[in-house]
Parts: sequence; C-alpha cells; structure tokens
Amino acid sequence: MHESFFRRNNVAMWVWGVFCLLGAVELGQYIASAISISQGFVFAAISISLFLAISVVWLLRWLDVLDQEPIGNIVATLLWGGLAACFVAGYANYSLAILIGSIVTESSGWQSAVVAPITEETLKVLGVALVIVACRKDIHGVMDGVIYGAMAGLGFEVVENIGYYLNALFAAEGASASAGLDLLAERTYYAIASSHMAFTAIAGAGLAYAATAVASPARKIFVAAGLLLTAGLLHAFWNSPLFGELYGSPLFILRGAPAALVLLVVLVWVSKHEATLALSAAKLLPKGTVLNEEVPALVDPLRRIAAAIRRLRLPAQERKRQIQLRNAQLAALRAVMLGYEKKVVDARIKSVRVYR
Amino acid sequence: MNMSDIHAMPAQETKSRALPVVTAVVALIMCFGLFGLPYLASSVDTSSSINPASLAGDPGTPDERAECQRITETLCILLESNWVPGSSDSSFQYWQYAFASSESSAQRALLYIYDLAPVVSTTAGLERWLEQCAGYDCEGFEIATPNEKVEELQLIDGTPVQARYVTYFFEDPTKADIVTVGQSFVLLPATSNSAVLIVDLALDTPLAYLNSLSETELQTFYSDIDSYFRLLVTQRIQVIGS
Repeated sequence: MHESFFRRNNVAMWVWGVFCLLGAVELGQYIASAISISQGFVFAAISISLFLAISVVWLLRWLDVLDQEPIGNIVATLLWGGLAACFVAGYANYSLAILIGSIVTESSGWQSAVVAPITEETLKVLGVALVIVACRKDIHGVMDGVIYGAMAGLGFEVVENIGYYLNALFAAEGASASAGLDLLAERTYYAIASSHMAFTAIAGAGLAYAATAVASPARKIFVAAGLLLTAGLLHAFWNSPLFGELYGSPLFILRGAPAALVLLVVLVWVSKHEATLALSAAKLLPKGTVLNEEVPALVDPLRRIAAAIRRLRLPAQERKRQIQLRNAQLAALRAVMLGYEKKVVDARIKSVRVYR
Repeated sequence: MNMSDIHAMPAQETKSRALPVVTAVVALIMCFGLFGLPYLASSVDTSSSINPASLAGDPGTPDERAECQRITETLCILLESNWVPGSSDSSFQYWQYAFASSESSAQRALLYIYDLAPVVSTTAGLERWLEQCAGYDCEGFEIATPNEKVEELQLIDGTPVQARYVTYFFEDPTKADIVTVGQSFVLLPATSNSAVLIVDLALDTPLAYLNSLSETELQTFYSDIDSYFRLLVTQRIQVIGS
C-alpha cells in the first residue's frame, strides 16, 4: 500500500512544514498586496499559471501509468517547490549574487546563469530527497524521481511566474493592471521547452536512481550528481545571455532545445526502467495475466500512443474490451508492485481473465 | 545502463537510517540558504563610496556643462547651459535647473549623480541608495514605485547599461506647500570597470499645482517626468574616456 508523506511520526514532514509555512506567509502577503491593486488581473495571472499546472500534472499522471504516486506526496513536492524552495531561493539568490558580484558582474549578463542554477536546483531537489527518503517504500523506480522532480519544478515555476507578474504589477503601480500578463504568458510558453519542471525532473531521476538501483555507491553518487549537474548546466544555459538577441521572438524557445533533448533522453531511459519493472511484476502474476510482449504497450509512452491509434480502427465493442483489459492488467501489476493484499491481487487477476 | 541495475520488488523498508540524516541535511542546507548566505553576503563590502566632491570640469561642448563621476572610467552627464551648480552648503553637490516663471508645474529640478563603486549590482545599488532615502531626510521620504525589474538601456555613445529605477516623493516639513517628486535611476554600464551609478532627478512642485490636476493630468505629469528622465539617461549620459 502507499505510504503518505503526511504522517505524524515523519520527521521530514515537520521540516517540510516549517519551510512551506514560511514561504506561504511571504507569498500570501505578496499576493494580498497585489490584489489591492487589481483583484481581477491577479486572478487572471493565477489562472494562466493554473493552466500550466493542470496541463503538467495531467501529462505526468499519464506518463506515470505503472505506479501512480500518492496525491499527498505529489502535493508535498509541489508545495515544496512553490513555497519552501522559492522562498529560500529569494534570499539565497540575492546573497550569492553579492558574494560573486565582483567576479561575475550583473552587467556581464552571466550572473543569473551562475547563481540561479546553484541555488534553485539544489533547493528544489531537496524536496524530492525528503519525499524519497520518507516514503522509500513507495519509490519503485526512476520514474518516481522524475514525477516528484517535475512537481517540485512545477511549484517553483508557477510561483516564480506569478512573482514576475506581481513585480510588473507593482512597478506599474496600478496604472496598467494588465502589466506583466504578457510576460507571464511568454514564460508559460517558454516552459514548453525549458523550465524548472524539466530541470528538476532530470535531477529527480538521479535521486530516484540512487535510491532504487542495485548498484555500487560510487555509481549511484555518479549518476545522481551527474544528473543534478546536468540540470544545473541546462538551467545555466537557459539563463545565460547566449542567443539573447532572440528574446521577444517565438524562436527564443529554441534555447530550450538542449533541456528538451536531455529530458527526452531521460524519459526514454526511464521508460526502459518502467518496462523492466513491469516485466518483474508480470513474472509474479499467474501465467497469461500479462504477457511479456504486452508490457511495452502498457508502459512505454510511444507504444501506448501507437496502441491507442491502432485501437481507433477497431469496432467500438472490441476497442472498449481492449481498454478494459489494459486497465485491468495495469491494476494487477500495480497491486503486485505495491504489495496489496492477496484478495485484491486475485480480484484484479480475475478482471484480466474476464476481459481477455 | 544495465537493466539488471533495476531494483526489483518489493521496495525497501521506509524506516531506514537515511531519513533522519537526509532530513537534517535538508534542514541545514535550507537554513544556510536562508540565514548563512545572507550573513556571508553581509560581510561583503558593498558600502557606497559616494563622493560628493565638487562638480567636475567641462569636457563637453562650450554650451554644455558636464557632471562626471568615476575614477578611472569617466561617465559624464552632459547638461544644457540652464543647469547650474546648486547650493554649496548642501551635503551633496547637485545641479539645479531653473525653470522659467511661466512653467508653474515645477519650481526647480535637482540633479545628482553618484558613483557607488564598488557596488556591482543594480539591486544592491538601489537598496543602498534607498537606505539613505536618496539623500533626503527619511522622515518625509516615501517610495512610490519600487521597481525590481532590470531594464536594458543604451547610452547615446552605444554603451549598454542595466537600469533599475524608483519614483519617490519627499515632503519637507519646513516647506509644506512643496512636494518633491523624484526618480532615482541606478545604472550599471557594461564597461570594463563596471560599478553602479546613481542618477537622481527631483522636481520641486507646488502642492497646489498637483492638487489641481485631474487623475489623467496627474498621470500625464508623471509620464512626462518619466519620459524626460529616460531622455536624460539615454541621450545625455556618455562615457567620456578612461
């Protein structure tokens, strides 16, 4: 069964709670000040961010088909990114900029490319680490790290975007209540290619690998540190002044190509892990419940899409049966992976037989 | 990646020794970000070396005056001839623009230019400047528009600069009928010896005049100040030499 992050004897939850509370108080004050300038546009800004958030959550839930993470743990990483990490990053970024200011000047354009990756990538991934160690029983593979990482990144992205909007609103001093909405829409658009979600998903994959892989400690550290460093470098590239002349153009999004490519590679790697996990789980089920050759179409995103397209050509009745069979097989695999009671597993195996 | 690396089910027990250790490390890093880094940063000398030295010479054209700051890389603001040195008994030297009597909207404009070397960030520069209430008595000083956004501007000589600005009001208790409306621009030129420069323009405006304006006229008044100031920054400041 799933293990919730929110349990009283979880020391990590209390640390999580303190920093999230501090962040919530600061963000709340900020939003309250902005609402006094323009209630409507603040809600419009929040709505744009929610659109991004809902889209990403839907995509992640779709990707994480084998072992969907408990909603409480998802919320924990989301809030960590948006409240705790964002809150501390505000102080850390400012301070680190002063510390390195004489070496990497603000006017060089490279300061945020150095500061933000160091502070923000570290702070976001800490939330993923907390959930992974506190709910270790629930971490079954690298995909879990990708999901939690992306959620921490999403929280950070949403709050940061709202922060940018509110700054523009304050700067306009109510003269133009819509000030900053274009910036918010622009950042939401850029998030398609390169964003906090992508960076922290990559770093999160490394942490989950370190937690779940049967490998030497050196190899675990190498993979986890390597992916965190990769996330930092991608963030640095995005923040750098390179190709800055494209700013304001829709082509600016192309600067996110390295992050999108690395994320794609990580997702391919992760889907192979997921397939391996599904095969392991399938072996624990009675013969014929989930065939080896059926596994890729159950968990691999591209094969799932291909299978869905193939099903469109089938008669409605057969299409419905195949979808039900697929769902029953996933439920059976999940029951084995999560260690459900025997009667639950048996019931799910029975469902597979019915639809087969 | 070898697929045999994958950890098979069932998952490991939750109650591992890693939980308290990781939690403590996370708490420590968060505290370091929240308190440690700001503490370390506070030890960095960002104190401004405001140099209220006497006004500079005149490297501009004969009909222009120039206010220059910087030690090795002189950045000057070229001033039209109706800018004259302000009162010498002020703690900060400034330039004063005498308006014609028909211009009732503002009695006089004051212009300050300061070098905040070694401050090398517009954020720190602005903070430093506002801590000093832009040179005014903090009693009657009020910030109107805190601006956290960095703008990229270009000086007339092509030098790119990063800029932040604030608009402020100052009400001198001894001059109840006058409101000073000012803007402070914090400039960080992308020159080899970058440091922050403050250019501050303030207009002494009769309170009666401000009160007589409609909401739209008031917006126009502020917008005119903004336009004039941007013109001053982008068209009248240049790097003279090193």
